[in-house]
Amino acid sequence: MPPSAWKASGIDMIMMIGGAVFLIAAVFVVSCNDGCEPNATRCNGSRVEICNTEADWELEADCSKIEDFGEGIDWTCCLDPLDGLHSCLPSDECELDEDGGAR
Amino acid sequence: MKITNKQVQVFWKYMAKKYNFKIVTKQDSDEMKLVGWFLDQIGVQKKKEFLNTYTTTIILGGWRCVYVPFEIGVGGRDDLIRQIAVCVHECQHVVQADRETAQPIKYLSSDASRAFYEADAYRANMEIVWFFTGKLMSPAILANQLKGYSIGKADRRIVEKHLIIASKVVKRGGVITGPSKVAIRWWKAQNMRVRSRRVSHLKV
Repeated sequence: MPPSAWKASGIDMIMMIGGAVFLIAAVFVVSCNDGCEPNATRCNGSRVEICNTEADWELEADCSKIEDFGEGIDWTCCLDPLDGLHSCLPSDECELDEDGGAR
Repeated sequence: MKITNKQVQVFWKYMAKKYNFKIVTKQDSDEMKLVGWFLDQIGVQKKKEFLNTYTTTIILGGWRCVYVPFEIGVGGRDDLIRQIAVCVHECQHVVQADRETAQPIKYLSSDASRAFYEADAYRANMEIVWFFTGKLMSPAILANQLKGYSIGKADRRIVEKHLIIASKVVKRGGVITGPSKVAIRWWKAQNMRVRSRRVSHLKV
């Protein structure tokens, strides 16, 4: 192959740039997770979230949006003292921290 | 609460209108026969099982169909409750697809996503069955059903955790899932109507 053929043509350049962008995007997609520990739970404001097998947080429930058809329960996201899972519970069933707030 | 066959038919039509989908008999659908044949060929599922057992929802662009393998409103009380729960479950899949345009692709391409979408919809079954029977569906049994969706053990464990957390709300009478709220409001209104009709009969 003559040396001149080594020079990339315009189309080759576009393909190379496109390939590079694709690779960067692929790396970004693969590495762009929340980095949480699968099976972990947390309260994110009023939202109960669970860490999935791809290390991303996913929503289980927004406690502030629970409908209880007139029961009047004050739903709060907190750590359930019975099983150690963050859950939507009536606020009086939550484990309280030292300051008296829901954990 | 009494459930009539007619009410279940009316309920499905109400939800189909509310969530904007068409109800299609699965066995009569050429596209489902084709999908069933394909799944059979690649060894995922027998065509007969696919057509007769599973309800399938497809929301893709203007294509908004729920393919139903049973005759709506036919059967005893347990069958009817199951049909109501299936309707609400599928409505939640419609909500997912409307909320997130990539839902169909993620559902097919990622086990973790498929597990999440199913956990989100199985919560609706739990809420509906609790409303009608006062019985809590087992999170472990529901999560295990996802073996049939080729969802592995690790993802099924996450699904079970979702449903364990949801069950704490459900058994206290709370409802998380949007279509379940809509459905329960509808059935409560039906019940009120039946009761007020009974009272007016008694007065006469």
